[in-house]
Amino acid sequence: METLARIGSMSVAQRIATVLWLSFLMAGIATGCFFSVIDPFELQYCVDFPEMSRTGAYSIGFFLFWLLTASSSLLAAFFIYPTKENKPSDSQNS
Amino acid sequence: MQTESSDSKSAPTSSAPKSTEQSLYEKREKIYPREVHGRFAILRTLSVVVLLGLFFILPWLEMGGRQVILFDLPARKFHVFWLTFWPQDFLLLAFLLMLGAFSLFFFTALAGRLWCGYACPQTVWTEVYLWIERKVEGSRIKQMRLDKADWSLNKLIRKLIKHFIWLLIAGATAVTYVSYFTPEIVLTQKLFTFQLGEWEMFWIAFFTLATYINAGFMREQVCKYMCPYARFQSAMFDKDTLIISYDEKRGEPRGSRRSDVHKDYKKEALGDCINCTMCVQVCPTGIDIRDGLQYECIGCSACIDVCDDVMEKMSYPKGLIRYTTQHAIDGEPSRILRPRIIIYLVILTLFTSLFLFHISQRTSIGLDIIRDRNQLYRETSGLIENIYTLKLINKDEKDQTFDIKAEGIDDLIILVDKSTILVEAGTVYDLPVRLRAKEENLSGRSTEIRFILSVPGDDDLSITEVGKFLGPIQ
Repeated sequence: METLARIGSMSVAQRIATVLWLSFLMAGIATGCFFSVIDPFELQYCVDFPEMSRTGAYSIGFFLFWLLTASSSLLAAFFIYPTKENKPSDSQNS
Repeated sequence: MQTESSDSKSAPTSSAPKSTEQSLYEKREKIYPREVHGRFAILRTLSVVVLLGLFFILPWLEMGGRQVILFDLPARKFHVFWLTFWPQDFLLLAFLLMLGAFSLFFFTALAGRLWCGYACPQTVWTEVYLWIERKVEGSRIKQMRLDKADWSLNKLIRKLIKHFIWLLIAGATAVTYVSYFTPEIVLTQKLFTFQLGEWEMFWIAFFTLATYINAGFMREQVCKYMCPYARFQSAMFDKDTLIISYDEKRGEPRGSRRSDVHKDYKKEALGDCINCTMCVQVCPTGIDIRDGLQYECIGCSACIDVCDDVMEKMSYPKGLIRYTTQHAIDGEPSRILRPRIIIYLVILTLFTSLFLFHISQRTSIGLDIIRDRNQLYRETSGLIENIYTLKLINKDEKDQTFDIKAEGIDDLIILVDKSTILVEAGTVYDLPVRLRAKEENLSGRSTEIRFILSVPGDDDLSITEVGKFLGPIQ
């Protein structure tokens, strides 16, 4: 409950930093793993993809991963708030 | 030092009033750290100079016609001194990351947040930015006055100069950073002739902005709110970990004293702390070390330096704030070798050996087997045929002629379109290969076969990869 109270009192800037920054780190790891196994040039044979340099493909890949991880963080940040049933005040004895 | 165990220092006590919890997240007030001189300040400056020097110089060094350290993402090859790493060496990167993590655990358990105080890029760049701020705007007091003052020509010029130099450094940092991933010499030529690729320009702009914001504005907030390590480092601490601590027994009761009693302060029931608040003024994260160990403390030891100065002026013994352990403060013996340290050491040794072993076992050739996706198998002239694309990798610095064989099924026929397979230095060659076998020789729907890649004339250089040969259901 203490954690929830702390989350509730986080500043907006810190919430944004938490969501964007942690997902940035994870997107970096995901990009590294993904592109060390898959060469974007080979991907172009399978998928209809506009022609671009590898650096371009890595960059776009990174931002897509970031979008994904940030959405997950954002949803987690939203869902972590207590629902009506388990508001801190209702569960003092827990 | 509070009597509670060091393990619980980062968690706010449940009895703490709500207001203190709230205050953690109040709108941030800018911290103006006072300039420090002393042993540890010299050590930190040295560390900043060496690390920044390495960062800025390394991309300019060449060896054998290429950058000494180049993570060549466009070419999918990493050059580190004489070694070249391929995407196939991904396992090594994993080992390296594990090594880094466990080194961090080991040093944290041993000596606290050494990384944060002396080596973290956030600390290094912030130090540089603070130095510039002091050169342009003056001392701590002058900076505070300038920020409070109304806008004037003097203020405008000083602020402009500061931000201009900050941006310049951020730009240089970003260009250098990007040159670790794109050849530097090419990059700088392109940079000065405005011929950079759009993505290179984008990443330079991105990292310029990131450096400028992190070192200029975010500063200690990065450590407090964004750094995962800062949050979990307390898990590596125990009572024998070297921490920066205020000697409460010696210092309390703190208080200012008249000059005529300062030699005889003990009669007035005063401790050694004269409550000059210097330790608070120098702190880059704005905490009071006298409140005990806090997770905001990055272990920069600025408070040690400044307090030693004060103690010297007062003719009191130095070390009221010092590097010590919880056990030492409690008057118990400290141990360096303890289970935690030994376990970290064993894991570190294990990963280092695995890493070195893996590097020593690397061959200069590689083979990947890719089955034809369109057809599982086909029947030609009474035989079952499978089609593959073999990726022949020549990691060597010179061109190489390869020989390919296949085995695993009796009377297996290998058909290759080319008679000599020449692969250029540092390239991957796609070789279409067809295998044919009699149906009665297959051991089932899927039979294991082996491709053997070798170099004629070099008996040591050969690798075997296992693949599948598919046939009809029997």
